[in-house]
Amino acid sequence: MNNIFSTVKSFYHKLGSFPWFYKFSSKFIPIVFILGFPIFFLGIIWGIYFSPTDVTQGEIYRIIYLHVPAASVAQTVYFAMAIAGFVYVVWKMKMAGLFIYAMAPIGASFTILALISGAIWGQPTWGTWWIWDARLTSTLVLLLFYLVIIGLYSSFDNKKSADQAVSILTMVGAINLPIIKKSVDWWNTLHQPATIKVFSESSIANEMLYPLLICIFSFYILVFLFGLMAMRAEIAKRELNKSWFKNLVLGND
Amino acid sequence: MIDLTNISTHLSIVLGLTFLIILINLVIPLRKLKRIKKQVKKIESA
Repeated sequence: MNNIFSTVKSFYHKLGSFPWFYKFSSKFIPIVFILGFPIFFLGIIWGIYFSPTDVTQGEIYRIIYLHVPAASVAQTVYFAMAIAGFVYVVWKMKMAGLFIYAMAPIGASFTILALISGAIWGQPTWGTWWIWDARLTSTLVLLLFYLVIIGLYSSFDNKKSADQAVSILTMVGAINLPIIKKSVDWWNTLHQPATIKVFSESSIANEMLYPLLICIFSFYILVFLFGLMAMRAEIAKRELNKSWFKNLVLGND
Repeated sequence: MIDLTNISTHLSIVLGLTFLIILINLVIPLRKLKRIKKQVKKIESA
C-alpha cells in the first residue's frame, strides 16, 4: 500500500515539472493520436451511417453523435480546470495554472460546437434555432466563462498574477456545472432530459446507444490529445529561455 | 442505416464544423511550438 502511495505521489510531483511533462507528452502524443482517431471514426461512421433511423426525428437525430459528446467534454474540461484552479490556489503548482490556460480554448471550442450543433438540431425539431431555456442558457454561460478566462489571462503581464486570477474565476464558474447538469430536471425546459442514465435504463435503443458511447469516449481521447499538445506548446513558450529547453531544441541532450 | 441521398444539410454542416474544430485544435499548438523552436534556434545562432 505504501509503495502504491509513494508511486502516485512521485508521479504527481513529476507532473508538476515542466521538463518532465514536456518530454512525457512528446512521447505520449503519438500514442494518443493513433488510439483516438480510429475510435473517433468508428463511432462517427457507426452512428451516422449504420445506426437505425429514428421513428420521430428521422435522420436529423444523428446530430446526437456530435452534439452530446461535445457537450459532455465541454463540461468535463471546465470541471478539470476548476480542480486545477483549486490546486493552484492551495499549492501554487505552476502546471495547474498552465493547465487552465491551455485547456480553456479547447473547452470553449467544444462548447461552441455543442451550442451550434444544438441550434442546428433544434431548428427542424423544435421549430427554433434558440430558446432561453435553462439548459441552453447555462451552456451559453459556460461558453462566456471560458471566453472571460481566456480574456482575463491575456490582460495580465505577470504570469503568476494571471494564473491566480483565472484560478479563482474558474473555481467560481464551477457552480454553473451542476446547474447545466440538473437544468432539465429542475426547470420545465424544451431541452429533453438526460438520455444516458447510469443507474437506470437509458431512454435510447441499444443500437443507437453503443455508437453514442463510442463517440463520447473518442471525444474524451481527442480532448486529452489536444490538451497534451496545448500544454506542451505553452511549456515551450514559458521555458524558451531555459537551458533544458534550448538543449532539447538544439539536440544537445 | 442512413440513406446517403437523404443526408441532410444540417448533419453535413455539423460534421464539417466538428472536423474544423478538430483541425484547429491540432494545428494551432503545432504551429505555436514550431514558431517557438524557430525562435530558440534564431537566438542561439545569433
